[in-house]
Amino acid sequence: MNSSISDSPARQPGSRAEIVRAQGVFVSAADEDRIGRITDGISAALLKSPLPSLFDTEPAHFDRAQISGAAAATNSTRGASS
Amino acid sequence: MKDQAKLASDPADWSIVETVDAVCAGHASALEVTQAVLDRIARRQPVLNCFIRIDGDRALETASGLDAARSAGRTQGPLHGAVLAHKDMYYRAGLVSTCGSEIRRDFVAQTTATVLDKLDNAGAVDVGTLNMSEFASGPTGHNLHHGNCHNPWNPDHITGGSSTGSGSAVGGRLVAGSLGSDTGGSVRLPAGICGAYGIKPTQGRVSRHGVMGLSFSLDNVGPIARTARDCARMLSVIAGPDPMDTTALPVPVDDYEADLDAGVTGLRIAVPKTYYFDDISPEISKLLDSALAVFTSLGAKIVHVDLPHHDIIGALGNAVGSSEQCTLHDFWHQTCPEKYAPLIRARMQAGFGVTAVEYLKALHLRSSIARAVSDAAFGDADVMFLPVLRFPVPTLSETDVGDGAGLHEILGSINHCTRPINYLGFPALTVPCGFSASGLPVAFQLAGPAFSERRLFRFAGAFEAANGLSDCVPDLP
Repeated sequence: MNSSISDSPARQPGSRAEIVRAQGVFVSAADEDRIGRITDGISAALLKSPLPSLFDTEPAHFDRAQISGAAAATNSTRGASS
Repeated sequence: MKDQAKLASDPADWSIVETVDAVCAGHASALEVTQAVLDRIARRQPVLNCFIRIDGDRALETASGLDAARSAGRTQGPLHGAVLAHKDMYYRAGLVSTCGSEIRRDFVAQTTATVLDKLDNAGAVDVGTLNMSEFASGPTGHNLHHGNCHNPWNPDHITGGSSTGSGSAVGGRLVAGSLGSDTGGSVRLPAGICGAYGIKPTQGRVSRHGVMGLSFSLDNVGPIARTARDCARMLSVIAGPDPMDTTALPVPVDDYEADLDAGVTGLRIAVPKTYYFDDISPEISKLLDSALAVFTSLGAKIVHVDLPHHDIIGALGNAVGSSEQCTLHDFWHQTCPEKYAPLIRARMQAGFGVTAVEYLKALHLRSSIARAVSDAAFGDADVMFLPVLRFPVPTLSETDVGDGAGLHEILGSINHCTRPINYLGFPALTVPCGFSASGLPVAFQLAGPAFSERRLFRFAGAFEAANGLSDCVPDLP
């Protein structure tokens, strides 16, 4: 594999807009800047992921018990009967 | 309804519960109530523009049927005679749902939303469809195709979006309740900004069959109403599993009205130290402090908590929401982008630039982040107390940003406090708590762990009884 991290879309100004254009979507100059800022924000957030690897996880769609099940454990009020 | 003075008042002012009680007891007919509501709509629609379509004849026909049933000794259900109207994205077979757009201006639905069926079966009268942000994509209230919707407390100001008509029609006392939808705050913002109660239920609590999709991971159906009890009653009717929607979870439906009068003595409220209260205006901060003081006077305890991951939740939610939105709108972006308002087209577009790996990473992280935040927020507290807006309600002109450079930041500041909750999947209830110096409503959110809606209504019921804001009415014709 020849690509390096510097080839990733987030690292190249305008490249995300090209991805959008390649899908047949009109992109103006103002759009290009906005798309870059938003997707850069997403890339930066993912670099702060609380999990170093997602190998043993499933997306929330398949793991609904983790949302609903967490609730079951905490679903009675603490200070008074409910 | 026992209050004789209330019975003598305009039925259009009655809450859902007051209406149902009056109609079921024979103090008023559903037809009388519906006619009163239609009269009020005729007076106030020119000011607020909250309706896209008014179905007067159809509503009167439904009301007559309900009166006939009652004469025969039958009442339809817990909403018998309550007059409602819903965001124009709830499909009813044979009728047009515009989704607030030009693209779907003439779209005739082939199916009826499960939630509309449930409301019909409970005895509600559906009086029309309500204005909304185009394709539920905008937190202000601007709509280039169907006209801007206006705040009932001051028509120069925004209603909040995207359920603009729902907030305006309920806050403006045109209808007693309404379904909105909430993908980033679209129930809670218009409810809070227009002086009403509104709940985003737990992700998966309510069926979305027959409802326009925006983001299938983040969309929620939720009611807006004038009182906590009305809101609880509407949620009780629409909640629950649905064979037509496998994402509606098979969790038993609570009696959401059961604890409204139970009080909050000894219960605990978490107040986050960061993110939600960052840069809050002194005026709003003071009103929220007063609301917390009401809770402490009622015997609740306040705890301050540190919440993890809020520096990244907004971006992760954006990765999920914008990708899914673009998936649904792909064809129109390619073939008729000019039919979108510039603001809406510009807001949607970034999702096309999110990679598949980024989208799936954001989804994978959702459960573990939700659990971490739930542990931090609710490990030592029953609910979390949050602002709805961190500043007084802005005007329509102040937020008319078109597709300009400030679009992302200005609109993002409006849903700053609501958007993270959609990614986390928690339920959150907007509760009105006062008015700013400019006379516009101020509200707070109560968030809880998944399926804690009954608990949220308990807190709201206690606050409402102590605060008495349901009697405040806007000055409208």
